[in-house]
Amino acid sequence: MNPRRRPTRLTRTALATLALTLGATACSGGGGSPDSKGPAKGAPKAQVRAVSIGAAAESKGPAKELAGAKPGGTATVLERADFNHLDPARVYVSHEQTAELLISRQLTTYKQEGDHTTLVGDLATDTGTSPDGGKTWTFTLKDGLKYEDGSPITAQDVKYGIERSFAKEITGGPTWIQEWLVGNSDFRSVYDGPYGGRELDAIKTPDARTITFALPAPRGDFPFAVAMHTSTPVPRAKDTKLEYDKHPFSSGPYKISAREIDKSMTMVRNEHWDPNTDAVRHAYPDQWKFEFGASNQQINERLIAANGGDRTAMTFRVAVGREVAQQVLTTPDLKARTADAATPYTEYFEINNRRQTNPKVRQALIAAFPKEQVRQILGGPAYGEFATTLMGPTVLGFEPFDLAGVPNTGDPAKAKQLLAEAGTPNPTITYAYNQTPLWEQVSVTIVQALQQAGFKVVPQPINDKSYYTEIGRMDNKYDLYWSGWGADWPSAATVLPAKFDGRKIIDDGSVYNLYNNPAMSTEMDRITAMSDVVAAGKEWSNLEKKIMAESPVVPFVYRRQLTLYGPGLGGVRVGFIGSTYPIDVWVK
Amino acid sequence: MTTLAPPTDPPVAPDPPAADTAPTGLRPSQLAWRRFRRDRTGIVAACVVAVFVVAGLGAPLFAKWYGHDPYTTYGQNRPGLLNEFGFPVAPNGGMSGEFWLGLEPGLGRDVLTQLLYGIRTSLLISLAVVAIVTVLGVLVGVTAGYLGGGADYLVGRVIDVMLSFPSTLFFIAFTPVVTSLLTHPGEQMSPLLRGAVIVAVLSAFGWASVARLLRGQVLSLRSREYVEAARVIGASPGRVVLRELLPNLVTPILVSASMAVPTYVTTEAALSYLGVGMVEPTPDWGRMLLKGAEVYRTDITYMCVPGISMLVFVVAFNLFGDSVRDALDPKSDR
Amino acid sequence: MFRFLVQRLLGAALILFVVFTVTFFLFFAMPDDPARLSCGKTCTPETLALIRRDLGLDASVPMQYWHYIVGVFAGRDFGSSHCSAPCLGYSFVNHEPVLDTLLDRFPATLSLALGASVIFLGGGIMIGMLAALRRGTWLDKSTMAFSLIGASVTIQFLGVIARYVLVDELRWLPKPEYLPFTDDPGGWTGGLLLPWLTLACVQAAVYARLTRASMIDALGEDHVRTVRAKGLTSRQVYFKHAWRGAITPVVTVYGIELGVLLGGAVVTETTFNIPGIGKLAVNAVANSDLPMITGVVLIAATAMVLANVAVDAVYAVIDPRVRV
Repeated sequence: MNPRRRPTRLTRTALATLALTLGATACSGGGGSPDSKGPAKGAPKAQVRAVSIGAAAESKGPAKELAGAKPGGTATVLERADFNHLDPARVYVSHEQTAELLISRQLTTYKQEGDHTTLVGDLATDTGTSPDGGKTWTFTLKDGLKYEDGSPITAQDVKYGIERSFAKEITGGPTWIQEWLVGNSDFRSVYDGPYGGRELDAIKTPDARTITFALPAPRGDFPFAVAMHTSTPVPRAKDTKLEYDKHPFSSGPYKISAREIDKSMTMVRNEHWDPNTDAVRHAYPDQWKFEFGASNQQINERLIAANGGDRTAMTFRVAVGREVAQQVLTTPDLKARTADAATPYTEYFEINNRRQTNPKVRQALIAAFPKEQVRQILGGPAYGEFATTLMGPTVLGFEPFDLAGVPNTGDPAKAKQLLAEAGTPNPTITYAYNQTPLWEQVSVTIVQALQQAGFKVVPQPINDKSYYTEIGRMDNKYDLYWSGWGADWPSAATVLPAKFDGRKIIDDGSVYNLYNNPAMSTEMDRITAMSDVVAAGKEWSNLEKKIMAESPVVPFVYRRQLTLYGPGLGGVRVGFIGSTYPIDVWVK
Repeated sequence: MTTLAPPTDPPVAPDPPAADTAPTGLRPSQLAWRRFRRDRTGIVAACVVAVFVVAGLGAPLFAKWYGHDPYTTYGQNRPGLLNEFGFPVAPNGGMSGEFWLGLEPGLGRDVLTQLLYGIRTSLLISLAVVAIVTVLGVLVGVTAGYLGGGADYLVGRVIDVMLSFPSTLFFIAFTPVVTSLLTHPGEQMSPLLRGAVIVAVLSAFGWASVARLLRGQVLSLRSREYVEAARVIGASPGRVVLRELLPNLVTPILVSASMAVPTYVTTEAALSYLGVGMVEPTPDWGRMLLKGAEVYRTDITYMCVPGISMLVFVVAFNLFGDSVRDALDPKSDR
Repeated sequence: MFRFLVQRLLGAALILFVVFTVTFFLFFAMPDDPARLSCGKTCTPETLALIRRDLGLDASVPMQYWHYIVGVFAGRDFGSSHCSAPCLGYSFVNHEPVLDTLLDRFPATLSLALGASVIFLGGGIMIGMLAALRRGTWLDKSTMAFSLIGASVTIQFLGVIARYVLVDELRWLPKPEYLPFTDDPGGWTGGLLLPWLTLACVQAAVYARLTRASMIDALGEDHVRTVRAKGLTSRQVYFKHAWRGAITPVVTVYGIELGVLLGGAVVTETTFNIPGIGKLAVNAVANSDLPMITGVVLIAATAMVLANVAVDAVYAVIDPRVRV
């Protein structure tokens, strides 16, 4: 998500309740106003609304026409790096998932109209039915679904697509469905994919249009889970295994016509895609051209200049960076060409709870941490709102609170006092960071602020490529390190257990803070089993407060997505997963 | 600059060894000094170079007097200096009576002291490289040229190979390798060691061209009468090299060294620009340029300060090098 | 002549072989495990072993070296992908044979190098000759002063400033970008104009100084004096006789320079985002893409060595004094 840094990993994608109006917050600032050190701004005024589950009627195509939209033309997408994965079973990063919107379809998907988001059937006629409270789920495919070669999309292909995500070669994608189907987080030990000739008995396809999933335990979230790309149909005959990543077989409105890895890609219309079967995709442009390889700054400069072909260019995820934020946000013409919304991502500076066992020291870290200064280097208000909680405002049940009560610029005096109470006035803190020019600069300011509070700070750069591997080690020797997390769908069940369940501490896991409190883990189990999502949201928020009271991390910001697009495009908006969406875009 | 006859004039007679109207009885170095003193451009250039060197070496003293250092993030610590986007509030990159050349966008550090400390980084690295490269190059070149035969052939081929390496590519590819070999993962490299790595990598390739130059010079000198004579009367090889050859090599060595300094200053800056040079918080011109290239649309001052300083320094050093050569070797005029 | 060329080419091949060997072994000192990097987040030991086998990383370093050499002449397989001869390895980042990527990026580098060459050779030589002809005048002094500044400015500074002024503010030049010549000749020229001019500005300075100096030398040489004494006009002396001697050092320097440029003008390509060999190298280093780094170094060395051979051959043609 933070595109300048690493394309992988941190970006657990997110499906969030949108309906967030961030416009009310600080984004309109700018100019030479020197008030950056003013009082801390309040939590974002995010209006959180649950995603409703749509009726079958809402799953019917075609998607509602947009005012002013017209078909035709070529739209361009500029990205810093090529997509690592396009194999639907392997995508898990938001901009890759965004690209998939054009070339693949799933059992369910999200429909966004105005500030209203609904889960609807995509390939399926509805969002699935379960006669037994969530153990068995049945989906019926729509009529007239076709691949790029005109052959029909069948329930067997959906099954095969899920089966292949069990194969040991096919890594990288989400694992919810796989784990739920076999009831084991080490799902590959139970079933190792279709390449050995075995089938997965938990999925039944009585006919070409019906698919039934039998789960060992009830999962009320199943319709949300199949909105992820794991449920994309793949015909067995077209499965090229590892090569599939380069050139997947399209079930969506476009197909890949040319691809030069790391340089460019062209998508043209899939003539066999029938808009009448699709409730969300508009597919106005005739063609999508992707260009890779420019730096984020160069992409932003091109979008600002909007010369020639860049008039109709956009980007899925290259945020308006610090170098151009002031220019963009203070120039009305440019500001009008931005897509802007809060994303499901929350960023933290993780504290290593195994090394820093004294809660006072952790509190002192939170008190001393210079959020405002760090955000100023990363891009200022355009980067996001300051966070004081563990979940982001897009998660169901989110309630703002601030237990630490320190200014965003940090409070060295309070930190000193906490350290004195802890009995260690000068603890040594090893701050690990990603070795890029940007994070090197951030390290300068963090080191200074912590030193002011009495900490002895050892900054340790880590190679960009191995950053997550290094901080993901259970025995890592660092005390403080950045990371980010977003919900896979708008439930805290995809946030708190992923980040704070001590039982999930493994090498290369996601509990980077190594926080382990069995009482909290038990509570997580209890809430996960609740069937009423709204009631569960309240419980999650209560649990969140209890965890935060132990100061396991320094909450940093709720990320905001602010991207530029060319004046020749309409319908550009930030989508559900926190990236800028192509499905409503038209060429003016 | 010595004046030679313009091309339309009738041809002049071949210059005798010291065609200058110099008073007799002066040593060559004194002659050179006289010529240098008469070269106004050279004097000015030398002064500029001296100012840079003094500024670089005296940076800590100046910082003390000036009241700011290149590490403190003034803009972040004090409200009102940077706006919420991290850019200086005051015009021209935040220039003021307090911060003479303004503030760095983002971190809000003082630009002037960064610039001065940056000279120190650049100069120390390039001087170290030039010293190593020159000593190595002279040793190898003179040895090969003097010995001749198989040794010379071997050295010649090694030089060929060295010069065939795409050096810039190799710098950027190889610096991270050396860095990671010398540090454990997650351990920070001290600025001194990092500087040493850069010096080592640059020197590893730089010696070859010096050696090639010296080898050629020695080969041509070796057959001169006076060298032959010295050998015939039984002078030891050490004596021949030290007393007969080296004095005649001083000029090319000095010239190549003085020309190399600005080259390595720019190369070091390019390495930092490409992300394999010195890291924060060591002040460095290349990194200032890198950041300048990032913020130039909003704050062009931050780009211009290191860019123009470097231009002035390199021009001055090049002019100085030209003058040194003219003074030592009045015949050349290139 | 033929024997000379064969000799030089054999020598070049030998040098390349040594360069390659040194590069190969140096980079296997890299601490990053390419297979581990390729494996990604949800890496299982089986996947890791699979990737390792596919990339041929399970063999010992000397064996890998041998496989590489065999691959160059006979091609080899990486897992399910075939890399046909001459195989320079398989990039686990781009998932394609290194040579394919290199060939794909080469046109951009070639375009940049050739276009800039035309401008800086033409401009530099002309300025240098003029300065030599009008030696000592204000024209000479001012062009030489300009050259000095040009030769001293860094590309990353000049490029950004030029872009800011000429493209963003005045809009005199189109934005710098690379479009393949075959797709859009107009866009190719327009997009490369600024990179060409920037690179040429720095280089032209060098050639102007060089041309001026060697021209002055040449005018002082015996055979030129002789023809002048015979009563030929200045113009004849200039364009018929003196330039031959003057051009030799220019060719030497240019030959080496072209070799360097064809290996990727790293800073220029990075500054203007031209997807050439230099940018590829920077990316490959950032990605720890070992096979790609080796491939780039190899192709850049090839360009340099071949350029040297070409310089020798051209010498023989233009300078009658060189005997081959």
